[in-house]
Amino acid sequence: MSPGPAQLPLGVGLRDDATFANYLPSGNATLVDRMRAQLDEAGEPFLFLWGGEGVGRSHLLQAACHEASDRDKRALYLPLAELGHFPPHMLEDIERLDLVAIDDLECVLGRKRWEEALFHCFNRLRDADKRLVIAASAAPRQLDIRLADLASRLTWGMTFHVRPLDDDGRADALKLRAQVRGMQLPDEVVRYILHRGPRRLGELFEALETLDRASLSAKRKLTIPFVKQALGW
Amino acid sequence: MKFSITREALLRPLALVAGVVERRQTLPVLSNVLLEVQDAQLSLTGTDLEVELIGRTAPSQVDEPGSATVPARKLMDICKSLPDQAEISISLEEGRAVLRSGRSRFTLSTLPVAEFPNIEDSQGSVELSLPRGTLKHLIDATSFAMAQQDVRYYLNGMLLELRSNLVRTVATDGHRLAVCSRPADIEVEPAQKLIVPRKGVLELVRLLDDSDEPVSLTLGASHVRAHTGEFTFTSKLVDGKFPDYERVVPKGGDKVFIADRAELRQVLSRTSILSNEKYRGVRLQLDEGNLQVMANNPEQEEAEENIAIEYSGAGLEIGFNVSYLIDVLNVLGEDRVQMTLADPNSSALMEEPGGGDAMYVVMPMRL
Repeated sequence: MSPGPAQLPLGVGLRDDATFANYLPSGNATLVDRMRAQLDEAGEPFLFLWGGEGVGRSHLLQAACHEASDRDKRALYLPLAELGHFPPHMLEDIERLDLVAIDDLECVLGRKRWEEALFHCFNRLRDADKRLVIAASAAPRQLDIRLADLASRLTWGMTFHVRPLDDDGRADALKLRAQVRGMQLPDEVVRYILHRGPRRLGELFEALETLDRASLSAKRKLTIPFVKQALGW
Repeated sequence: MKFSITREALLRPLALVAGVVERRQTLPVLSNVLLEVQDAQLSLTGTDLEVELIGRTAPSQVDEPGSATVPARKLMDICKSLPDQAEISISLEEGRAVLRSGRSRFTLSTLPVAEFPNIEDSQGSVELSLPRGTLKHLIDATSFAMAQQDVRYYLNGMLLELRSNLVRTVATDGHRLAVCSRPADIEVEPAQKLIVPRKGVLELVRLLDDSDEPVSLTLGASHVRAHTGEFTFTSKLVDGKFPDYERVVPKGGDKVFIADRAELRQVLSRTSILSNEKYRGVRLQLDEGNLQVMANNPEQEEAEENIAIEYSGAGLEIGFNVSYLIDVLNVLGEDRVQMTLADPNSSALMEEPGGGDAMYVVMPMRL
């Protein structure tokens, strides 16, 4: 049986890119301040942040790149989980940029060519007085790095542990992201989504995207029955 | 306060001002209209805290200046039901408003004038003036596409964009979008973009006519004010971003046909009778020189119509909510309409042949 008729929505939803404005600093306020100030004259040349799955490392790195382009600086976000299986040619000439954000560092560790390329990249950025921010799943000393020179370089900058949000923080984050999309999410719906939905914040925000489209298409308010239906729960 | 006025001089401003007053509200005084008599002028104010409207009219005689608030709807119903050209006198007696006309006498309750809220006078940063007809046309051409009570606050309103030599309105409910632009003799630097809430738009357009007389606009950070001489209209603005309409206007549609607007509208209205009442879907089959419109409903009833069109190109079958198409055909001005399509999942562009001052984007339905 074919599904019933469905109105297709226009793409008028507001974009919800990862920025500092839609990141809830919570316990990470100092880190956010440092990151936002990194492109200032006196900014930190190198920041290292680490934390568990879904704490918002990628969000922060992408936010740094958006902020850089808002300030007319050139920045590049390199998610090594996706790019790590290519040879590290992408790091050549990278010191022409103002800010380089390397995500998922652990994905390339133990691979000689990548470790060497990262080591040289670090040095070149430093010599050119450009900014670097690296994120990984663990603190530099806990990472399984073969190249001792790279391991020591990674401890040169400021290191931050990205703290996960508690349940209130997760509720606030979900509301904030809904608000950025211009959607009002009632408290009981927030509680329902957090209770029933995925643990990972990234997946929660994807559910929000699905809800945005579904409510635009159906012109429905975000009630618990509607959320159930739209997300197939 | 004591004055007299003819029924006709009171009725028009009273009807418009009472239109702003909500039937249900949180503060009792909001169901009242504020009457203020001074010199040779009576002003009437109605507000719902989001939209405020002040109307001014001339009483035939002022015996004692003053002010009072009286129930808006009751006052209007009384004035409406009095005979034409009746002379009405209103006076404040021991805290009650007494209305007399001929052998009729009505005593209305009042609430203290001090409780009547003012929309605070926000600093107007930009002032400009437009012909009333221009603003009315821009609103009429797009207001039907505004959302009603969408969860996205910014869709429940209209974008008013003012830049040097150009005024534009944009409205969308997420299924269709309407844009209308007109040249205007104004200087606005930098360009201003405001979102006027739905109710404000609908009340504002009632004050406008097709004339070239000016309406002056004051744009503040949180309010917009419009002034037409007899009326001063103030509306809060929706705080937020409006979607980038240019991103939504389809480009690259290669199937362009032209049809007679009135004929197509009749065909769609007739077909819609047998469309699904909830979804209002109709199927369009586009072929060389012919457009077939089909509808059916859960009772297995079917409608089929054919209309001659100017088209030579590949065939296409596409579904639409028929109301969305009829809404556009209702506001387009020319005798003929041009529709540009790409494929069954992409939006359609409707406009006057060759492009007029308005553009309409309608998303299809999957049937």
